[in-house]
Amino acid sequence: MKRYYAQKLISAVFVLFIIITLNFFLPRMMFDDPAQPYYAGVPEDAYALRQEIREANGFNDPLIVQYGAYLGRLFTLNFGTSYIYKEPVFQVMFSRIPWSLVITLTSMVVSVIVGILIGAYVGKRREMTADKVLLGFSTVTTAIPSFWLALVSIMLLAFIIPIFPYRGAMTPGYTLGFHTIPFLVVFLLFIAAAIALRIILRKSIFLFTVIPAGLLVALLVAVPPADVLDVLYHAALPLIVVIFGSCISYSLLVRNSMIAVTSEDYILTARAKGLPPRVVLYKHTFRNALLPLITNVGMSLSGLIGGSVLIEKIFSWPGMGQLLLEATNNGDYLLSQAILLLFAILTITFNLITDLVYHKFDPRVTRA
Amino acid sequence: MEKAKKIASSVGAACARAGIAIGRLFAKIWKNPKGRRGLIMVGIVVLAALLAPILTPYDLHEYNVTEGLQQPSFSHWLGTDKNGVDIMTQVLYGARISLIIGITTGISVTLLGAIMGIMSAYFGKVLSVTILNLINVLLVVPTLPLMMVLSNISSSYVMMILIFTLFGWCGTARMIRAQVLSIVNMNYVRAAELSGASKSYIMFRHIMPAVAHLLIMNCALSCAGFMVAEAGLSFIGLGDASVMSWGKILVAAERDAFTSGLWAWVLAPGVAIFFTVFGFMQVGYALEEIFNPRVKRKKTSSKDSRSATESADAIFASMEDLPLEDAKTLKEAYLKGETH
Repeated sequence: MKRYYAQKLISAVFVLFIIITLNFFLPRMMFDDPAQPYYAGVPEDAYALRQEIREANGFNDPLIVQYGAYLGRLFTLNFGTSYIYKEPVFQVMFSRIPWSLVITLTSMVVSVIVGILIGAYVGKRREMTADKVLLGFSTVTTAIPSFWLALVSIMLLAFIIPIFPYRGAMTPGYTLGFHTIPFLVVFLLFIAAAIALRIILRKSIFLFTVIPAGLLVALLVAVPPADVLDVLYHAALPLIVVIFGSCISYSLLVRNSMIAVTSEDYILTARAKGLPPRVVLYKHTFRNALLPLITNVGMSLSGLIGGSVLIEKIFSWPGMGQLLLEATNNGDYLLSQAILLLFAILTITFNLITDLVYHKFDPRVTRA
Repeated sequence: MEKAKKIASSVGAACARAGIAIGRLFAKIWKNPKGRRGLIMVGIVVLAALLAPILTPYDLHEYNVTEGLQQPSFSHWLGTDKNGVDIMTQVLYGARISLIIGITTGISVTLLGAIMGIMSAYFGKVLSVTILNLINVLLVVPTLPLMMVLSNISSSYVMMILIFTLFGWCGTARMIRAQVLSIVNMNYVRAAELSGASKSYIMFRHIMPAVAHLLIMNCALSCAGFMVAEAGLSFIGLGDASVMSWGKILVAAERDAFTSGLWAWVLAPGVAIFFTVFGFMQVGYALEEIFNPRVKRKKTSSKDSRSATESADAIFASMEDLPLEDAKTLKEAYLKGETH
């Protein structure tokens, strides 16, 4: 048991180290002069001044010294100043995260729920019409690129029948109102309630349900209702596109796993010992069929903050994906470096958490 | 001289054998309904790509601004873009790059994945640990952002193939590794080892053929995947600027088509991507059915060849609507062997 956790942890730290190293060397390989972002406003021919800036920022040191300095900066969360925004990278990055979350979190919650419902419904009715429809539909939809679907949705729902806006996250000229104090008060109250429930009733489920619910309620309290509606109105098209794709893949996953579980020996045992079919279905089949979903959702959790580059580009949505695109297109490598690092850390952390959570639900995995 | 002749003849024989095997495989795919559909679709796209200069009277670089942004008409089936270039022509030429990138990347990823997967399962502890860790790193690296950063170096489509290959092989490698681990201890591999065959000989002559079916199937499916990826990358502006691709047509369409109502311009490249990808996927599914007949039997003819557990399943499943008492008698009846 402990060995299993330790192994996972060590490999996660190792991977993180490799990625940090990669992250350090990439811009130094790509650009002729990695000090470019520091020159802001210095003319091309001011060699002496440029040399001074290089010296001051340590670009003339041996690579190994620079690498050490880079690691040191990472530990103090100092990512430098963004070349395009002239603001600290950290600040630029974190102002974009909520926008990505609006799309990714909403679409994920909706498509997991709908996917489970459809998958369970179809999984019980193998070989019947519903099953055939889902299978046929999914073979067709997996071949459709999502960004083209987004373009078609713009064409249909923003131009031919103009009901939804297709650009930006809010009506131009508006900014999001946000009351920090009510937000913090409500959110902290919910966290306290979750911890209290966990301690009193001894069920970890409260931590996973009450805290996200608290975040949602706190957001609704903190943001004026008109702004919430405006954002949702603008998010409608991207949400439709993202939910459409992931919904089908989740329901297919649940369907396949339901069918695989149904032919397991323990289901036969449960039926043979005379358990009511309802109990067999919900307690034995359904619960086990959801196991693969844990891995899948866990893996895509790391993509939540990253958002989708293509979808955000098409709908001009001000999220992280769009930010990364801007950063790479403008050579703002301090920014893209930080974003890459954030993505990697999130992926590693969520993979680790997924492994551990999966292990809790299905202790058989340690043996493999 | 003698030796050279011998080598030449053995190479010729190997080529002939490979040719016959490929011919047989295609015959098998053709017999499968999905496979036939897929082959026809892919064939149409390949023909369109090859015959593009014959099929269209227009040129890709022939600008004619006075005829810009035209609706579909008899002379321009899908309309024209801002510079007056025929969109049908663009779509036809776009098939070339899509096929080149999809097929080369699909093959190279499969080969690299196969070699890495077999090596990690068969060539000693050190190599195995190294490759496994490499796979762990590559699976975590956020691929798309990294590709965006890397394509700053060079945006030629050869570079794109390289990047796709470098970051795409780990999935295949993991799958092959799992398969090889179960083959390594088979008697015929042991026998080859005992008779003194070298590890690389065993790898290419004994293990590779045993996983070949997985590789071929994986190749067809990853061709499809990389075509979508290529379209996506050129759509965000990371493709080769000098070549026409479906992603690039969509970029221009996003800019100009919506406001001028040229819907065919938005639809055509996407339909082309869908058509090609769907064709490759159908071939992939057909290969899956050919090499692993269990997949097909499960789907279609479960009624004819019911095993004991399956018929039990059917009976107990039908219980779901019955009251519990009836279900119990039915179960007892089944156990006594009264129902079939």
